[in-house]
Amino acid sequence: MADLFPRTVETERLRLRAVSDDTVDARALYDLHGSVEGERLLSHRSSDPHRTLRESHEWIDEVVAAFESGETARYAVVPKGSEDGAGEFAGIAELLPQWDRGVAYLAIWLRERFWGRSYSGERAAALLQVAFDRLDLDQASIARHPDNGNSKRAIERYVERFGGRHDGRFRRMVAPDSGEPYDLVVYTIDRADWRASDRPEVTVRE
Amino acid sequence: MFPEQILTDRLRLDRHDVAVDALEFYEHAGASGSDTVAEECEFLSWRPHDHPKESHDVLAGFTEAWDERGSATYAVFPREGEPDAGEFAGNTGLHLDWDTRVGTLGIWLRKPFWGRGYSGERARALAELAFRRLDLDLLAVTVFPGNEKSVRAIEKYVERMGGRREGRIRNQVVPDGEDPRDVLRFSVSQAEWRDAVCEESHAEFVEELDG
Repeated sequence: MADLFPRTVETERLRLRAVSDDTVDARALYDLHGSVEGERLLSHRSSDPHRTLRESHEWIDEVVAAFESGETARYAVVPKGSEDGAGEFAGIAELLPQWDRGVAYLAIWLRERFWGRSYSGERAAALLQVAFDRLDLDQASIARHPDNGNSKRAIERYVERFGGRHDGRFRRMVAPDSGEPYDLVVYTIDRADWRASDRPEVTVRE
Repeated sequence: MFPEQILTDRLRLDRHDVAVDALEFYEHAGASGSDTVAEECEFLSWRPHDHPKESHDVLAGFTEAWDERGSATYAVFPREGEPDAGEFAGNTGLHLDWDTRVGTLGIWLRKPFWGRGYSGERARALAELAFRRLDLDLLAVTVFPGNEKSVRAIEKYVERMGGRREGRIRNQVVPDGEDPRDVLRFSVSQAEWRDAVCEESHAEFVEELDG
């Protein structure tokens, strides 16, 4: 019997593997959260960085439980083949369905050495296929912090490619664990527009 | 924390659960008691009540939310000098999200009271509640795009208060048994509102309703 979410999704250059103790090393994740790079990567987000190794272990446990219960799919992003850094942990990609609304929220963070390779767009293409073809959702929604300029460029490129649009800047939508509430800039992609767009090949494996 | 009565030039807003009992509320909100309530609700987030117990429960919800400081809901009455003075004209509320410090407006007006500019008048009054009294950072309002009359009213009062149309939130609301619907979101920040209205006041607060 297939799970609601696929365990592995393969694109031309990436392997997305469901987060578990096998695919994410808690200690490495904890170290990243505490690093200068982690501080940069995990700013513009609603949750605080992990402050203890236990938090990283608990995060993995919670992510596994949410995957099994059909609430959220989170994947370790791993470059493959002849990519520089093939086999390494490059970041986390997330697909969060809002089942009643027919909407899939997509999100990602990537370690800095993997930036500039259009991995974000490649991962989006894969998870859009999962959201639309497998999960029968109608729309994908991508939200970013207004100050997150790197995400802006990456998002706008693939949103345009897949026939999506910028919906607006909505003020004070998020109350983070610490710090001031912030605005969200939101984009959506409709299934029909995605179907009509130029889509790459994606392999889904159980 | 919330005043039980708010007075504007033409309107009196009374704490809803105190001012209106369940049977009177049902006369207006009940599906069987009114010819126009279905039309009035077309673009709202609730449906006409099926029985007086539903009206009773809705009022109990208003009380609970008031006591928890989660939202303030008022019944709307035109004041002396207005046509139909003292009649129940609908209700309005300010819903609070304390984590983001955002207040969201809502309103239901009975059809005879449409077209009088009451929505803008009570919005300016509730903006005073949101900003002057409660020190929120943002006043927001969402509306179904097909509700053209309300969209026009909102555009007008939001502009007057220095705010803006933010955009369309897609598939935001899922009414019972229906497809998801988009909403338009508008907002005014406290700073925008202070620049636009200065010290000019649009509302008088009365802390407690008489008997």
